[in-house]
Amino acid sequence: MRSLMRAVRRLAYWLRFRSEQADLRDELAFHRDELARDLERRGLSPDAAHAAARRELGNETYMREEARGVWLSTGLDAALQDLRYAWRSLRRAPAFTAVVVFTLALGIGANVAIFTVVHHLLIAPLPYPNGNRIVQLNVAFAANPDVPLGVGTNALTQWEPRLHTLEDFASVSESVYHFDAGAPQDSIRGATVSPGFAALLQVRPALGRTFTRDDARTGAAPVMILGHDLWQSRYNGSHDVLGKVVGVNGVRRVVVGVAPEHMSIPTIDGDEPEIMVPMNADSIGGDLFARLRPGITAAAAQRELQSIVHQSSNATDFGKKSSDTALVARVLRAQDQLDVNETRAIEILLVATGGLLLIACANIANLLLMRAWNRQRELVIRRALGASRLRLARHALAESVMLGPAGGALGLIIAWRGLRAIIALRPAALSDLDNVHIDPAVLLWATAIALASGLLFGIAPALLSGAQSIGDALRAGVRTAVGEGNAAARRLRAGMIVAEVALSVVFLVAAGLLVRSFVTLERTSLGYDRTGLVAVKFQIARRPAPADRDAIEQTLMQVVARVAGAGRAALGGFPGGLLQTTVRPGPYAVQGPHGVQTVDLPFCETPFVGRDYFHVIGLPLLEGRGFDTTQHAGPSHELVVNQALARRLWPNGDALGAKLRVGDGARATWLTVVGIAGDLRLPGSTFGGDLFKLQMYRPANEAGEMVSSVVLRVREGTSTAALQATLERAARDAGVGATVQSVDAAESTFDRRVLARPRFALVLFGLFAAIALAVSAVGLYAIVAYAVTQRTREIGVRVALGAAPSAVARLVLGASARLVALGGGIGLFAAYGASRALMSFLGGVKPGDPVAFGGAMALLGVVALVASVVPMRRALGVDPVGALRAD
Amino acid sequence: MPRPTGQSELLPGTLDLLILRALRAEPMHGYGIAQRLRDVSKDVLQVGESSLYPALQRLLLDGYVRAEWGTSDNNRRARYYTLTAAGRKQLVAEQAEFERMIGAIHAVLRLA
Repeated sequence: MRSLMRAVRRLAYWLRFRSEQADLRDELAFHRDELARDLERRGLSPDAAHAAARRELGNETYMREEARGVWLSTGLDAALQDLRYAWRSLRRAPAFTAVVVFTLALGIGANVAIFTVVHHLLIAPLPYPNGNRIVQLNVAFAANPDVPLGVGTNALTQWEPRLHTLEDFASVSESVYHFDAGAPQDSIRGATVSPGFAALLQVRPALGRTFTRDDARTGAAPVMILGHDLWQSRYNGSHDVLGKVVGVNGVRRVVVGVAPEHMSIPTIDGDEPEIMVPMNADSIGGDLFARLRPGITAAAAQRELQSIVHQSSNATDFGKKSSDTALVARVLRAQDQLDVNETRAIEILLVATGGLLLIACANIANLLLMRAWNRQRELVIRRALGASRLRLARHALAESVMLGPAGGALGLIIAWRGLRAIIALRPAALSDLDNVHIDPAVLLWATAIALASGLLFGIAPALLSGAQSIGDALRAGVRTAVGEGNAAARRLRAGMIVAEVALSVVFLVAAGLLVRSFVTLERTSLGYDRTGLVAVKFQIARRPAPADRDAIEQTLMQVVARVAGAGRAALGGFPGGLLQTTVRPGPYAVQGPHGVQTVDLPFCETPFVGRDYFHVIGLPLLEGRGFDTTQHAGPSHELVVNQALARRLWPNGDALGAKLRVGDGARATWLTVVGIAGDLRLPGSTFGGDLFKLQMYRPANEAGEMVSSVVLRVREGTSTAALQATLERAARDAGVGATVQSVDAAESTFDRRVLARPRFALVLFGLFAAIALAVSAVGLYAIVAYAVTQRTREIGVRVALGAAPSAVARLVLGASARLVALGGGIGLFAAYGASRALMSFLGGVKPGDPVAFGGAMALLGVVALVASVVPMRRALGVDPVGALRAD
Repeated sequence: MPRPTGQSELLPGTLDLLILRALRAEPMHGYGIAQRLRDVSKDVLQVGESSLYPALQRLLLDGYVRAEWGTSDNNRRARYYTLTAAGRKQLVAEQAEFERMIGAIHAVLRLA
């Protein structure tokens, strides 16, 4: 209590420092004047009295300092002194300080950046009440569990009453809408949502109401809810917006509510929808969400869903039951936006960053130790002059305590920049990362790391700095006094280097494999020529009558052809599911040796394409021809199959001219194979690997619905934005009520869909490899430099006895070479294991890829050599006379 | 510094006690304290200003005295020190301790 009061008074004194100083000065002046007055009274002349008073009072400055000194806490004073001393000695060694601060900054920066991403992706719940209990329900084919199937609205109605682990079910599907609220008309992002959506998110509308079950009935009056952004930008946040009638995809809808701010959809693409319309039984359905009841885990809900799916997997929803079509259920927390493999990769990174920081600290401890050894003469002399061991230890600690926060501050800058880079490179699937920022929790984490690491790597040198008795130290000769170190310490240091090298190798190999895989992927041919290939998707305001369909298709085709040039455009989209895909469930049948025989083709893609399609996309026709719709007024019942489908249905090689039956009963149609197209190659697991390796192409005019996509080939480097503008003008002029919904270049789509994720992984791991390598280089340098310092005398003797420079170099490099070889060996084994964990990121590269492993080792060798050469040069420069004379 | 004869260095640690004792009757300024100690001790105890003011600061820090600006006899602004309750308690304790110590020293001087 008393010491607390003293502390408070002390603090008050320093806060009022100026006025306290003035008080003391005035007080002393008063004292002097009174003294002079007394002396005067005793008969001295005024001048003499003042002079005498000043003399008697003595050195006033000294007195003031004494008085001020009373208020100084001795502990604080000494600590300040330690820090000042540490600051001075660090400034005298700028290279050392820079290396330490930078090493630490890399470690901390990497940690903060990765932790931020992990926090956002894996830990932070969705920004809704009980957001961490919102789950997404999925089913997938057991054969291909990574690719979820769409869940229809009937799944919602069937599952909801039977799933007791979940509540507040809602389905949502995002799409682009044609929004017509007077000129200008435009396309906006919106969502079709089931009425339970607001209940799921537990949000209230900013204005008006949410959807009710009545809104979702077939034939109900069409209504809509405006997104908050659109309400603000288009209607200036006016309350009059309720009751307004707006055209959405040609349907007049009444605005009944406005969504609250930041109401994003808890799927992968977390954007705020601009409008929402109710989902009814006719809707295709979308992503199905629900909330876990309190205390229920996602796993328990998944077991329940699995049992239901198992019972009903012969239901018509998902096609016929067969071994191919066995279903697995998935219940995943909506906040976990990564699949299992990605989560594992991120976790590997998180553990690795922790390890990296530990190693960086160990490294810095090593550097500080080395520094302590280099200063042992100074330390011994200071102890001999009376500095206590505690004081010396505190000096050593003060240095590291200063270095910690410095590294932390720089680390934060690195983390911030790194985070920008990570966000810039993130795959589209992680677009939610846009909102990532370094939050207080992470700042706290960084501060803790900085301080803890400061203490951690400060302890060893602090203990060392007073380890021996002065007598021993002086007797042994100062140069060898402090630090031969014992065998255990030497082994520890060596062990650290081996671990660092091993870690670097693991990351180098991982980065190397990812680079190899990336290059392979990038060069992958899709089976068609994607350079300069563009797909345009049109949107028609009203569903055209069947009779007008062909005419509109042809008009759109001509619009594009005018822009692209004759023979360079065709109806149809990118095949292979690059953007989207069309799958027609059969039933299919072929003419077999024993009559008509049905065939099961659950994953066969069925694009409807126009004339010149194969020519335009550059997909080779191996046999036969493509479609020529101009020769037939009506349906030609022609078919082009890819090679894989041809082999599967007609293994004898007589596919051309063979017939395939589509549909059954009255709607059965026999199609004739007129051409065999090359197979598509779909890299990696992006589209579920082999999912769409079968294709049957059919003429656009037999699709039974509008084919609203056109592919065209443009010169390389043509801007899609410019192309879109041109096409929009042309489409308006054509006057069939069509607008351009999207223009996608195959190259950039491929980049986004196929390359973005591997590139992301590649950059993360590559960055890590670079950091780990830099850290081990520093560690290696420290240990070799230390060895040289330790053996200066020995080297001097050797040189004096006639050792050649090469022998000296061998001596120095030998030690580091052994450590690097050992670490490298261990690293190779570890890397082989780790690369298996990375398998899901690697396309076309085996985990044991010799190029990646060889490259990693070569790079490590070069860096190790560079790190050793600097101290080696010092060893070669040892002057034998000086070395022998020292001490 | 050579000192005139008849003046004594204080025993270490006694200055605080003397200041507290001098302040027991009434608040005083620094010069007044020095004068009082010299007068009462018949010029034996010459408290050097260089130890008086740091001692006063120490007492302020310990909370045994309080300082306020007031007006001196000759109408000048002077800083007056007042004994606090804690200071009173401390005075009693220190005085007892001092007397015990003096008694002990006397005993040693007489008998040893």
